[in-house]
Amino acid sequence: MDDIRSVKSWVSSPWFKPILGGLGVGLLGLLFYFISPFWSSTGKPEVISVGGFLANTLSWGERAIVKSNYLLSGIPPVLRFLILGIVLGSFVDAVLSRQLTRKGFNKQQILKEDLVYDIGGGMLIGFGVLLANGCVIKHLLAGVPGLDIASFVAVGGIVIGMRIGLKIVGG
Amino acid sequence: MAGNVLVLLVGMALAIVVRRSNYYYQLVGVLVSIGAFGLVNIWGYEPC
Repeated sequence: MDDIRSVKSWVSSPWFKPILGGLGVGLLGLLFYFISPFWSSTGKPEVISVGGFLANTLSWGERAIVKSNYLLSGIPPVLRFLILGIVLGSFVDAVLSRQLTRKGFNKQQILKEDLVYDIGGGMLIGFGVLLANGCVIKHLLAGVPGLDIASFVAVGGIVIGMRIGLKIVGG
Repeated sequence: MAGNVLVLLVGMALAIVVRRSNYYYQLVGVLVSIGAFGLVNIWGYEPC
């Protein structure tokens, strides 16, 4: 009885979900790293990353929009299926857990000062992804555990940037 | 084809894990992620 109680208190503690989520995300990232070379166009391993998709798409902009009119051409094929899986998985899980609701913009109001922060922050993220050669997911999920020294430096920069942001914008 | 389906399933699993787990105590999750992916060092990590 005490065992059941202790398990219940452990499951309801704030530590449980981050540990479970961290383990799941880390192991799935590892699985993707090992299976991606078999189907990636370069034959080299890819890591789960989001900023990279966008950067690749934009850098291939001429071919993507002007020549072939195919917006996804900059994204390695193996990552297209990963993105599709993430969208599909979210949809299926929302349906199964009966949390699927239709959402729109009608009840939302964008405050003027928020809009400035959104645009400015978004531009800084886009610029930072190109500058640091990857987003926070790539550096923290793959680079740091892979002991890539550049990722340690990038994560240090992210932490410093967040501290400066908190000083300027407030949290 | 089988590879694309496998990658699709990894993406779906990732979305479900993130949705279900909603993922300073958060630092534990980050460290667990790093530890789990850190197993890659057994075989060697190639920066991409």
